[in-house]
Amino acid sequence: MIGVREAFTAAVRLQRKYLVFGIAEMVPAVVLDVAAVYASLANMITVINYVTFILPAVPVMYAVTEGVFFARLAHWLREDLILHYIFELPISTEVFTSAYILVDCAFFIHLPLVPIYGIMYYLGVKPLDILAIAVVATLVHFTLASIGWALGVLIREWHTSLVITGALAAALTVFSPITYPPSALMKVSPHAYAVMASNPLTMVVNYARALARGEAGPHLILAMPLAAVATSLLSNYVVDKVGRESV
Amino acid sequence: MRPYIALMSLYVLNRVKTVKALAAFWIEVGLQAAVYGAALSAIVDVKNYHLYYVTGLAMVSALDVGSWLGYQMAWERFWEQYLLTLPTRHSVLALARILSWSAVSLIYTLPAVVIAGVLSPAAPLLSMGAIALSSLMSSSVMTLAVLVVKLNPRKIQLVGGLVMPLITRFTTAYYVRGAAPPYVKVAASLNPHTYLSDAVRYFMGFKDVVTGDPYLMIALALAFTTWLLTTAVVAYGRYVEGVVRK
Repeated sequence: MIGVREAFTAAVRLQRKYLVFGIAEMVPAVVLDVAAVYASLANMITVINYVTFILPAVPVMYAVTEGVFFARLAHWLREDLILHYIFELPISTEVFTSAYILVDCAFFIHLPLVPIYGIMYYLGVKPLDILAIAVVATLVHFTLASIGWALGVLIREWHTSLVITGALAAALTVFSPITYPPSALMKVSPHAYAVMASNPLTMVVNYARALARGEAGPHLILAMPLAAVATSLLSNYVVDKVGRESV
Repeated sequence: MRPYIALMSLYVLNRVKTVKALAAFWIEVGLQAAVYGAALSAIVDVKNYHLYYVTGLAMVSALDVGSWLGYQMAWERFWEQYLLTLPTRHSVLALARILSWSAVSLIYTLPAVVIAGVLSPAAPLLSMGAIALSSLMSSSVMTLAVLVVKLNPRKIQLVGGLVMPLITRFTTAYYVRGAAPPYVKVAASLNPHTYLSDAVRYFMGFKDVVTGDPYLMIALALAFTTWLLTTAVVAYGRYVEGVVRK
């Protein structure tokens, strides 16, 4: 049996060839979103300071889209026969999948978001709080990627997976206060507000904002790993049972 | 005209027959237009911002859908020998494809057009014109980009990742030019899409936030798109048929 270090080495080896493309695709979009779109919207919104409002939620937003994307990734891995390789590794699927997800998070979320963390620091957010926001984003990504991973193995038809994951990511992000304050949705529709209130991501986004303001306690950052690990174990059980037959 | 119609029908049908992919895009655009647009308009100081946002979303989605053509062309590099055996000139093929992607964009952004229609009866027609032109712009830009990277599928990802955000962020699709920071105003003035976006908003009734002559802006956007489209089509035909490569 190989260890955790080897699992990370294998995960890095599998993903490093996409690193340049991932960063080159994401960095301009992320930086220009903040520098052009959010900066301009901030001048059109007087009720809140929009730039400081949106920045702590950006890592969480990318964590959701990249996390759910794992369902599509599972398809590609199956097509490229990499799933075969994963099941052949002399290591438990849980350890390898966790390493793979964490490397993905570091490569395709945190590295491209370095400019955003820099802007947050420039705007006065403490480094420890920025780190805590990054950890929260990592845990969101880990939980959703575990779910996505299992969905990708369970749903074998590519386009069905596309609809389900696309709808899931859209619903999670649109019905959460990532890009607008909850009061704005309350003005539009109380029903939509109720949907947002029941979205677990709402609590996470509010927590990230509280962290940026330096007002958050440690409660959620301590509870989230439990949810992440429980989801990961369950999804890996599914992947192990169903996935081995499907590849 | 017949080869264009035949090729365009083929490309449009090919895109639309994957109903589930279309449904996934519709859900995303529909939710964004209905929920996110409405919530944002509750806090933005521009009157009727929901309509402004929905039209902007339609245009940016069209830019996005149009850009897919470049990625598709790059992956076709591996069928180059087969493509050269087709009894059609490649400039004809490229023009038919770019025009059909414009039609595909209209289908993909339908939820935004419908919501714009609910908000203002005049909006759907104007939005559809803006969507078609936006898609033509981005397809042409990506066709040229794909030639710059010599049909390399990996390199087009890099170039597309750099070029498309410049077009989609430095445009007044989501924000009004008066509210933009000075450096954004300068960059947006250099982007022809800004003129299209402003002109369409002027005719939708946002006369207080749009400055400049709308007819001149429409003329500029049309002239630039025509020039870009012609250059892309001619260059693609010459490159793929080996006229330039030799």
